[in-house]
Amino acid sequence: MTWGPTLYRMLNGVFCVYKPKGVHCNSVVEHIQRNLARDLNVQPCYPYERKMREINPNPNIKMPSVATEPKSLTTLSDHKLVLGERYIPSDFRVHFVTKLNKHSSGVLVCSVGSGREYLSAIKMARYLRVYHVRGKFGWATDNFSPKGKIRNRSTYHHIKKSILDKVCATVQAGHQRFMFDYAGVAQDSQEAYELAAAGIVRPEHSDTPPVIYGCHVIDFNLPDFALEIHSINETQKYLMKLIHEIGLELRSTAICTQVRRIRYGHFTLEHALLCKHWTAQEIIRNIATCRHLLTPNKLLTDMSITKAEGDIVQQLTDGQKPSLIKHGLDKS
Amino acid sequence: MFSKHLAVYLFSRAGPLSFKNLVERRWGLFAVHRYSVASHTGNIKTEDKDESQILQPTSGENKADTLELVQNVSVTGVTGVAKIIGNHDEQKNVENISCEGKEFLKATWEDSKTVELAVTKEKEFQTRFVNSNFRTISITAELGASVKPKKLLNRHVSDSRQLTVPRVDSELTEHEQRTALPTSAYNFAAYVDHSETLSSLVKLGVDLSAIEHKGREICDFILKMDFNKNVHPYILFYRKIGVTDDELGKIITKCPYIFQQDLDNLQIRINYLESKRFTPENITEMVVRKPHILLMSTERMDAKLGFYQKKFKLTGHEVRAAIVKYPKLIVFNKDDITENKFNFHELMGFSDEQVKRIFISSPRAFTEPSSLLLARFDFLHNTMGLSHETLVQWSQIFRCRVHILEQRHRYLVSLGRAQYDPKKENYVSLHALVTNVDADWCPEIAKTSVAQFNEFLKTL
Repeated sequence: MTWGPTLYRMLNGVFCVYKPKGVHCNSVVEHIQRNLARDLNVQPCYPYERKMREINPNPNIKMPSVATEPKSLTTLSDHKLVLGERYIPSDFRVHFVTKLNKHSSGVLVCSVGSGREYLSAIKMARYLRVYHVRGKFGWATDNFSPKGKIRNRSTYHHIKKSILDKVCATVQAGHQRFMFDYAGVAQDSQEAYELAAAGIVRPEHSDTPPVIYGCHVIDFNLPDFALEIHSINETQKYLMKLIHEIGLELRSTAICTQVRRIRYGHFTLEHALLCKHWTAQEIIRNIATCRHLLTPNKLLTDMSITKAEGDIVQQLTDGQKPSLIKHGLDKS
Repeated sequence: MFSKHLAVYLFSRAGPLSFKNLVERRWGLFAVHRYSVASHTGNIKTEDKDESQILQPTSGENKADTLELVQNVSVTGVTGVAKIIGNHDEQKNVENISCEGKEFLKATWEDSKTVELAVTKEKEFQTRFVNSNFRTISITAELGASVKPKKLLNRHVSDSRQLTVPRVDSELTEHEQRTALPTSAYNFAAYVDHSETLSSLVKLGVDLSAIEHKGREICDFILKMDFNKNVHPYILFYRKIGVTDDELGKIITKCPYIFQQDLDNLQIRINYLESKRFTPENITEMVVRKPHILLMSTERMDAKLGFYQKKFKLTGHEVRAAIVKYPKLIVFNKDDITENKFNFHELMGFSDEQVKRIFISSPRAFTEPSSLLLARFDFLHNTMGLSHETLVQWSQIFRCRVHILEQRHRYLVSLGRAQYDPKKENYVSLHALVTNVDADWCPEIAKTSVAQFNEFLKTL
C-alpha cells in the first residue's frame, strides 16, 4: 500500500496510450481520469489511514460492532466516510496532443499534471507521424468510411499493384514542392538546399496544410490494400480523403477502412499503453519510460536548433525547462 | 454612460495599484462597485451601478413593518481588504454579516462605520439590514480584491445547496449551540462531531459523503434524525430479517430513504414477499442487493410481479427465480423491459419460447440499454455467425461488452481458432470466450502468450 498523495505527486509527466477506435479522444481522457481516481482512492489517502490500526469488535452485541472506526482517528469528521473520496477524476489534469478522430486508432501522446508543459514543446517539434491506412476498392461513401452512405459502386479488377505504387509515388512527389513552401523558403534557393541537406524539411508551424513525406503500399490484396503514410500536420479526415482520391485516380473508387497511427515522432507502439493498462501503476511506469524521449535534443528538431539563439540552446541543455523551449521556438 | 463607467474603472485601477502589483496579481480584478439602496420610503439614487444588480425592495403596505434586506455579496481576489461603508440619514441596524457560514458581526451601525474583511481567496458574505433608513451603502475593495454584489432581495434567500439548521443537542447551552454549530454547511463533516446520530451512522459504516449526492431533502432529514427514535428501530428491523452487521452500512448508504418509511409498512412488505413464497434467505439477499425494494408499496410490488409473469408467461416459481437472481427487476421501469422484449422478439428474431428462456437464465439482459443490446447481437450473430439457439444456451453473453467480444474473436480468427461449433474439434464455448482475465485466457483458450495478444491488440 502506497500513500495516496505520494502516487499523486508521481503522476506528473508525459505518457503515451494506444487509442482504440470508436471512442473520442476526450472519452479517453475521461476514462484515464476515472481510472486514476479509482486507483488512488483504494490506497490510504487520509492521515489516519497511514497508521497501523487495530479493529476490536464490541463484545456486547447490543449494537452492531464498531468495525469502521480506526483507532488512530481522533475526530470522526476526518473519517473517509464523512469526507468522501480524496481524489475525484477532475483532480487529474490529463491532456493530449494532436488528436485522433473517433474512427482511427493508434499512438496518442498524453500528459498528466505538470507534464502538460511538455505538450506545447512536443507540438512545436512538429514530429513526423506514421500511419497505416487501409482502404478497400469498389465503393464510395459520403464520409469515406465504411459506415457512411454508399454513393457509388465501381469495378477494381483492372488495378495492379504496380499502378497503385505509381499513384503513391505521384502523391509523394506532389508534396515535395509543398514542403519548401510551408517551410517558408523558395524551392530553388540556397536556404532550401541547406534545409534539405540538414534532414527532413518541416513546415514552419503547425497550422500549415498537410504535407506527405512518404507514401507506399505495404499490402495489396484486392479489393483491400494498405498504405504506410508519413506526414506532418495531417488530419485523419485528410488521410481518408486521400484514399478516396487514390481510388478515383485509378479509375475506381475506394473507402478507408482503418486509420492507425503507429508512430508519433519518438513515441512508438511499444511505448503505447493498451486500454486495459490505463491504471495508475502502469501510467507511472510509462511516464518513466517516456522521460528519455523528452530530452532537448529530441524536442528541438533540427531547424529550431539552427534558428534558436545560442544562449537558449545552452539553457536547454543545462536545465531543460519546457517554458524556455517554447520561448526559443517563438523567437525562431 | 459607458465612458463614465470606464473612467471610474480606469481611475480605480490606476489608483492604489502600482504596475508591479498589477503584474503580480494578474488574476485579481480590482474594481469599485458603488451602488445605492433605497429605504422603504422608496427613493433610489442611481449612481454608477449596474441596474441588473439592484432590485428595488418592495415597500410593505404597512410602514411599520420591518423591512429586511438580504444581500449576498461575494468578494474575490488574491489578498486585500473589502470595506462596507454606510452613509445614511438615520440610525440603522445591520443585523448580521455572515461570511463563510459564520456570523461575525451583529451591531448597530453608526455613521461612517466601516467593516473590513480580509480577503484571502474567495469569500462570500451576506448582509442583512433590518429596519434601516439608510440611503447608500457602498462596498469597496482594495488591493486586488473585487466585490460582486449578487442579489438584493427583500426576503431571506438561502443557497439551495446548503443544509439547514441541524438538530441541537439539548445538553448544550444556547451560547454553546451558537458557537459550536454552523447554521448551514455544505456537507455533513461540520456536524458529525456534534451529532450522535451522524457519528453512529459513520461507525456503522454508512458513507455520508455518498448520501450528500442524493440531494438536499434526504440530507436535511438525516441531519434532524434522533438515533434512538429514528435509526435504532430500523437497525433492529434489518437484523430481524437477517441482514448482517457488515452489510448494514452499505444498505443505508444505498438507500437512506428507508428512514422515511413507516416501520409497520416495511413489515407489511416483508410479509407480502413471504406470502408470495419467497424464502427468508431470499428476502434477505434481495434486500441486501437492492434495498430500494422495501420502498415500494405492496400494490406496486404485486403489479410488478404480475407484469413479469404475464409478459413472459412464467410460472410462479420462474418469476421468483428471476427476481431472486436480479432483485433490481422489482424496481425497474416496465417500459424498458417491454422495449427490450420487443427488441429480442422483433428486431433480433428470437421466438417467444427463446425470449422466455433468456429471461429466466439472464434477467439482467433485459435491463441493458437497448442500443448496446442490439450492437452486441449484431456482432454475435452477423460477424461471429452464431445461431439464435447458441446464444440462448449461454444468454449471459448479452451482458458482455462489444469491444471485449471483438478483441478476442478477432484474435482467435487471426490464429485460426475461432471455432464455435461444439460438434467439431477445438470448440470454443461462448463462456470460455468472454470469461477469465487475459492472463488466464490467452494460454488456456488462445494457446499463446499474453504479450502476443497485446501485440495483436495494437493492430486493431
